[in-house]
Amino acid sequence: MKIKGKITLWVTAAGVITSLIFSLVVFYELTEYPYEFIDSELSTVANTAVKLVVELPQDSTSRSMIGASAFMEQYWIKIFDQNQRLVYESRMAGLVNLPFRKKNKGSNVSVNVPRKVINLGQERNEEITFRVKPFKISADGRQFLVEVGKPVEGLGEEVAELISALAIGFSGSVLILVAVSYIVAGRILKPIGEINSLAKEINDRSLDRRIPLGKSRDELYALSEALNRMFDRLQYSFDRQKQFIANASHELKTPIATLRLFFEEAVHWADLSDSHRQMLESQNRVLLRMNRLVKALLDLSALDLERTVTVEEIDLNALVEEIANELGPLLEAKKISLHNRLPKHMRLNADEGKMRRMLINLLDNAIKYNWEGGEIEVEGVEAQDEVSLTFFNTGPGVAKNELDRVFEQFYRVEKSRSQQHGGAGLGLSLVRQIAVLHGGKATMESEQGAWTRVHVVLPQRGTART
Amino acid sequence: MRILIVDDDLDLLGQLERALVEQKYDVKTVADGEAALDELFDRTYDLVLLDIMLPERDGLSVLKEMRKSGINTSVLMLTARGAVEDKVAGLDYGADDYLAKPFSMAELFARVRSILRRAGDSRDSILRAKQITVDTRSRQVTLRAEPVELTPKEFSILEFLLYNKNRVVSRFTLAEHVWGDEFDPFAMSNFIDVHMKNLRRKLADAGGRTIQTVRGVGYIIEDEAQ
Repeated sequence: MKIKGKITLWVTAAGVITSLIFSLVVFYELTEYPYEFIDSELSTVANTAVKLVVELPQDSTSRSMIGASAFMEQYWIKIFDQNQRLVYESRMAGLVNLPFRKKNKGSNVSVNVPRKVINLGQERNEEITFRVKPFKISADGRQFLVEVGKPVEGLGEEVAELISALAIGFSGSVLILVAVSYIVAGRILKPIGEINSLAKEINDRSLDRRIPLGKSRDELYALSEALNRMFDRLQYSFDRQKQFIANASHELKTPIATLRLFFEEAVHWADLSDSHRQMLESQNRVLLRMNRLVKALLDLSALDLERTVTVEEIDLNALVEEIANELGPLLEAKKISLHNRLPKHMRLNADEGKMRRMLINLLDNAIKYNWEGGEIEVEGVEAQDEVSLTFFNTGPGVAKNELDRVFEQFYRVEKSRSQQHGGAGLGLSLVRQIAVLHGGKATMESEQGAWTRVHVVLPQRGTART
Repeated sequence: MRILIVDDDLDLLGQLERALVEQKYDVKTVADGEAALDELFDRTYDLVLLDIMLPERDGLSVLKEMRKSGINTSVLMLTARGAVEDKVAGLDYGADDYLAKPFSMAELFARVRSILRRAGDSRDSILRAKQITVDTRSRQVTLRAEPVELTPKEFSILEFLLYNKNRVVSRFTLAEHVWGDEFDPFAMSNFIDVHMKNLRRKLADAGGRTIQTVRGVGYIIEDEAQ
């Protein structure tokens, strides 16, 4: 899961829990509060009723006097003395029977009251909810049990309304939370994404670029700085390695030159026997083989430098034709037929010297690793912004697991064989490097025992860097 | 002909000196740039073999300085760096030619002779051996005063052998000279034979008396007349 998703999820979860707790508290308070209010009202009513009962003489008329009090008639009231004898009952209590629990607590009771009996505003189903509470009240040295009730029709609807309001508010806040946290997470992570893509680009192309540092010295600034430092070190060690190869190859050239001149001079000494002469000659060949290796190494290290690319317009067809011509004797010797099927005047903007080098290496390989009497085919497609070339040759081919390794430096499929060909195992690695240097790529496919095909793709204008 | 060799590698310096002295040149060697300039101001030379990487003062700077001071001695740059920039810079500063290490003796002799001839009289552009003449400037070849048509590669082989008259030139060195070092001279040297066969036919030398084969090594044009 992406960090953006995770942040959104966590922020949303925290928000949901918070607003859920808030809603529950509000819900509880809002639903309990009216009942507390009613309960205290009922308590007042109970006390008033007891006071009235105590103050009046105990006969039936006084009872009706209480009954005449309009105030008392709004409530359901029953008063019992300590002998469980009913001493007072309001008119409503006379008409409706309410079950009472003996606990000294307020509760809601729903009963069916036909409208014909008493109209308390009940709906058609004739069910009505009462808030009821029993009280134990002592007055004038006597103990009374007062049961009081009040119809609270409509309060349930209020609660339902409250719940739906809370639900709407709750889901609304969840939606806002998700949206806000998603946007905020995106905004926080955007610079990280930018740093990432920049780092990738630097990694792919050139180590000499750096991530630009932002203005505020925040965590991202530190990250960019750390990455830049890492690139510095990488570039330093890469450059040192390249420099080392360049210096080492360079330093090797002068002693090789000295030895070469010595061998060539020695071959001409008059008093040498033929066998000594041949020995010297073969030593010279070893030396020159070493020189080719040194040269290839020097080329490879120099090829890493982009500044060595000078772009000009090249006619690839003509270039292939020219090289094929130069390699003519090699082709004739093995009776290999080369078919140049490149479009006429195939244009490419690239470094001519390096392209030449690449084509020579490719064709040379196609000849070396070919059958006697085999075939080579060069094909090309010119697209809008790139040129793709295919070099096909018959021959023993390369095993699948070695297809990518043939581009590695010093990798040879068959050591003894290619030494006999004079290869140093650097040819294809040079090909790939030249392609990459131009912003392109080189890949190989092969059918063992049948053929090999090298694909080279080169961008047309990606070579504007000089 | 006086040649000054400037290189900081004493082994190479000794090797070059011996080889050129053997070819009857008057040779002087120095190992750094300042000494080279001193030498050039003191005496007149016909040719300077100048290495690029030198202590005290590098080869390009020596070249610039001597051209600025009006010393027009021919310069053959020697360098271990194969880089094109060096080559271009050297030629821009007025070098006559350029040789990348490690060069062959035959290549060195051919370049030295070619430069010295160019610097001298135009008659010197003619190379001769037996009944063959080669004009290196107009690239005309004649056999017993009759013109002979050669392909560029055949011409290159003949010219190279004539520059190295009386010396064996290996097939490898010939291949390196004809095809350049971009091609694998080991592979190409096998195809010198093909061109050699055509060249001999055109020079009416099927028997190989003019261009002789030295078995296992290469070819030689022997001619007593200088």
